[in-house]
Amino acid sequence: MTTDIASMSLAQVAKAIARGKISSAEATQSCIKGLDTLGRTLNALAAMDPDQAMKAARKADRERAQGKKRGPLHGVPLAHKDMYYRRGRLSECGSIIRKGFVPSVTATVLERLDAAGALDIARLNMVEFAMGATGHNPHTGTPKNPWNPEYIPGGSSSGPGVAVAARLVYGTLGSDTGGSIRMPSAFCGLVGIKGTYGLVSRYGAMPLSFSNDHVGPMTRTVEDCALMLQVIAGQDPKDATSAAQKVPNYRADLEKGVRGKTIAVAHGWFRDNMAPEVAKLLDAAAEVYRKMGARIVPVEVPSLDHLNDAAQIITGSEAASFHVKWLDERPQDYSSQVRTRLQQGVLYPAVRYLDALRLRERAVSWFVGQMIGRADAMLVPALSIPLPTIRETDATGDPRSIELMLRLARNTRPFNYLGLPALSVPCGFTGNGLPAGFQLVGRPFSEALLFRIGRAYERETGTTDKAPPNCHRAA
Amino acid sequence: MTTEDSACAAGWLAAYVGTALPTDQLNAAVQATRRVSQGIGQRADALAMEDEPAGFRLGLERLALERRGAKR
Repeated sequence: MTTDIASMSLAQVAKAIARGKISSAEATQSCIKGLDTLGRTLNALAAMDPDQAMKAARKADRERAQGKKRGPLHGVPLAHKDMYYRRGRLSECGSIIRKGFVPSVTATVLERLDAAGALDIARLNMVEFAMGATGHNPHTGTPKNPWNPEYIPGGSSSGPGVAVAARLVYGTLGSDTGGSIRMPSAFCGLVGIKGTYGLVSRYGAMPLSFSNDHVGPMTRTVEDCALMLQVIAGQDPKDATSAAQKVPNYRADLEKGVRGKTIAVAHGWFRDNMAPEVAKLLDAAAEVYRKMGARIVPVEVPSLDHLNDAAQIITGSEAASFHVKWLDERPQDYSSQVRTRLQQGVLYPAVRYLDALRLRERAVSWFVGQMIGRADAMLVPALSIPLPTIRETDATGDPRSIELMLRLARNTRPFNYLGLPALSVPCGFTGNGLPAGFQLVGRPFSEALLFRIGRAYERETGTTDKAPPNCHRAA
Repeated sequence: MTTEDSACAAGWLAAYVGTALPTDQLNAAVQATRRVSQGIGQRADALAMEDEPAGFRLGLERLALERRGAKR
């Protein structure tokens, strides 16, 4: 085990606290220091109350000393995207509109993390109302990728991606309506999962699109991701879309490898206009799986443009429904890019919105039956091109920015519409030195299998062992 | 006038949102919305009348039970 507290994984720090090797106060102090320095430099931090955080940490230490362990994350400092409501605490959603908003409820996912003993020590920066793939935020400042601060971290869970990658906290909650967990995870070299629609409660999370929103963890390792999902997954009577599925033990089979498993490798539409260096990384990942004993089956995927279109209609219409009052009353308080997208959402005919929802069951049956088929999972690129810079994707600057932005979520958004689980796993670096990642997509509620397959790759390649040059060191 | 044309009329947008977009933005927004809506409209021709939004969540649960039962 490493001696630097900041470099530990979530699972390692949880174990070290539980065994009394380190205290929650030491771990929390390290995170506070990192967030207060590098967290501000990289624009990852929205707000933090160090005194409150240390008070909670010392309480956790006292409880442990008395033999009381709340749960698997006892005393572990976490911080989340600034859109998870906690009663009595600000939740500003990266916006001006919600500046000063104090919710009266607490998100179910936060309650579950609290019950597991985790500390919630800060609110993390995000894209305005979670509407953007790059991470840009003209109101709160654009977070910077810790692998190279000139590059985007991805959005909309931008601050969470930066904070976990830069070793400022051990894990975080992101949200994913079109790829907002998986993109910043892939772009910052992290593991992130968007579970099956209905697996994780969205109660108390800022809504963007009721039908496409997913809540999930972003972490440094596959085990950490499984550990966090274990805590937050499961039916919630407060969320009408919550599924009545039994939650399995996500870590039980984590080390069992992939021998005898079948992995479908997505070609066709997913390889259109793909940069050769990204294709090379994906091919190499498939080869790693083959060498570990998995059966590799290339699958020619036809155009999924219609799935992205359907997702766009649904998200656009539902987001407009949520925002239309503010659009009427305070249009000047939105950034121009977000306002334009929201106004566009007002234009979709209700008939087509309903068509997009009605087509959904057939689409997921087709994809699972015909594309994943008998395979255990499908290997899909997270992004088809090397990561662009902040300047290249500034909507007010470079004219190529719109095209670039459309490409960013192209490979992730279909799985929001389909509601299928998708795990983002780092798979090396492109020529610009920035991380690349792939998605493992599975059948509904097959998250445990995705973790097992993702872990096998991680163990074999060590891709999650590397830390970015701009990262916090406690020692 | 088609469904998309009527819904995407610029005047309707301005009246509904209560604010005027710059012309270039409005055109791009209308054009993109119309293209996407028409595409889904064409796909919807394949739907049975009985297909309804709630079928999606039932479908996820059914597919979870059918583990590895489908043929490519």
